[in-house]
Amino acid sequence: MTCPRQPTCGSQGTTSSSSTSGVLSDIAWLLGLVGTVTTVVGLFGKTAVFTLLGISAPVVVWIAAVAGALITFAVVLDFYRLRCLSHPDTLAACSAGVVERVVPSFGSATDELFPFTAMHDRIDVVVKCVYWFLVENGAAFVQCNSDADTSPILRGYYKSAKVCGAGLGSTIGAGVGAVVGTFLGVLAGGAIASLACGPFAWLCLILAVLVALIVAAVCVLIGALAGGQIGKAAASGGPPAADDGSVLSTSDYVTTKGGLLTSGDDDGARVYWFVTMTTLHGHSAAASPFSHRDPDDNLLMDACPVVIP
Amino acid sequence: MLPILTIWHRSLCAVTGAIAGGFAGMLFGFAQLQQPALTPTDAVKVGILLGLVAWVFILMVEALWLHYGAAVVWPSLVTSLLSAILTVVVANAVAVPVLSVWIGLLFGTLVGALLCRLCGERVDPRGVRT
Repeated sequence: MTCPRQPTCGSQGTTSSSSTSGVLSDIAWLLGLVGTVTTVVGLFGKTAVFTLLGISAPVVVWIAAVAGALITFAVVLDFYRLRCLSHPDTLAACSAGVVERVVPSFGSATDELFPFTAMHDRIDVVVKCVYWFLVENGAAFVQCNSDADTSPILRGYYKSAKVCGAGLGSTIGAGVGAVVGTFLGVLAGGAIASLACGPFAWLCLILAVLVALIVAAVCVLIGALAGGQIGKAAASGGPPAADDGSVLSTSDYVTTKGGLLTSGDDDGARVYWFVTMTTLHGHSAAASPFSHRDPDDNLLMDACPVVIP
Repeated sequence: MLPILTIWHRSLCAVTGAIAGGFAGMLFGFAQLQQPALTPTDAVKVGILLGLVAWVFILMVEALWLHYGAAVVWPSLVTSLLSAILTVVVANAVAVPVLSVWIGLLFGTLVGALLCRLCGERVDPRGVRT
C-alpha cells in the first residue's frame, strides 16, 4: 500500500486550535468573576463583622469562604458540563486500525477520590495510513505510538454512563458541601482573625482569609466525593465494546465511526467525541507497540466508505 | 475572541500563570479591604505565601485532575511564585482591591507566556510533552 506523507508527531505549531483543557481557562475566568463580585460586595462593609445563624466573623472572612466554595463548586460543575452536557461541533468521520491500548474510566485512585474528574472510556487506535489526514487536519497536536515507525494514533472516547452519573452526583454533593463549607470556613477563618496578633495583624488577616477559603473548598470536594461515588454506583455501563457486544482489547482490528473534534484534554489532538459505531474485524498476531504497517497489510477491507484524502 | 482568552486556550504556561496570579490577586484583594498597604518587603513575603498555596492548587488541578502528571511540578512552582509575587507587589502599589484579581490574571498570563518562551516546550519523538 502506498502511504501519503506521514504527519509530524507532537505539536503542529498551529495557533488556531485549543491545546489546553477548557477547565483551566474556565478557572481563570472564574477567579476574575468571583474575585470581582465578592470584593465589590466586601467594599460595602469592609471593616464590619457579619453574623449569620449565630456565626460572627469579619466580612472579608465571609467573602473568602463564599469565594472558595463558589469557585470549587463551579469547577466541579464545569467538569460535568464539559464531560457530559456540552455538545461541541464535530466532524463525522470513519477510520480503521489496530487498538494499541484501552484506557478505562476510573482507572486511577485520583478518579475515585475526585470522581467528577474521571474521563470517559478511551481506545487508542493505530490507524491505517489512508486515515492519517483525519489525525492531522485541524489538529494542534498529533499523538504517535512508540513503535519504530512512530505511527500516528487516533483516540476514541466512548460515552460512559458511570462518568456522567459520577459527574451529576458530584455536582449535587458539591452544592451541599458549598453551603456547609462556607460556614465551617467562616468558623475557622474567624477564629484566626480574632487572635491578638499585634504587629503581625496583616499576617493573621491573610491567614484567616486563606484558611476560610481552603476549608470551604475542601468541604465542597468532600461533598463531591460522596455524591460522585453515589452517582457512579447508581449508573450502569461497562467497558467499551463493539457493536456485536465484544469487549474491546489491545490488538483488536476495528473500524470506528463518530464525531471528530480537537480536544484540549488531549493536548489539542483530534479525537472521536464520541465513537458511535464500532466494528470488530479480528485480532492482530503482532505484538504491541503496533505499527501502521500491521493494519495496512492485514486489514485490507474495513467498514468505512472508500475515502479520497 | 479576546487575545487573553486565546492564549489561555493555547498555552499551558500562560493559563497556569493566570490562575496563580488570579488566585493571589483575589486573596490579596480581600485582605486589602481591611489592611492598609504593606511595605514592599512584607508584600514579597505575602506573595511567596500565596504563590505556594496557588502552586498546591495548580498541582491538584493540572497534575491530578487533568492528568498532566509530574512533568508540571517544577515549572508550575516557578510560574506560581513569580506570578504571585509580582501580582501582590503591583496590587499593593495600585491599592485598588477590586483590580487586584485582574492585575493577577494579566501579570500571571504575561509571566507564564514569557517563561514558556524562554524555557521552550519539549516534545519527545512520540509526541508526548515533557
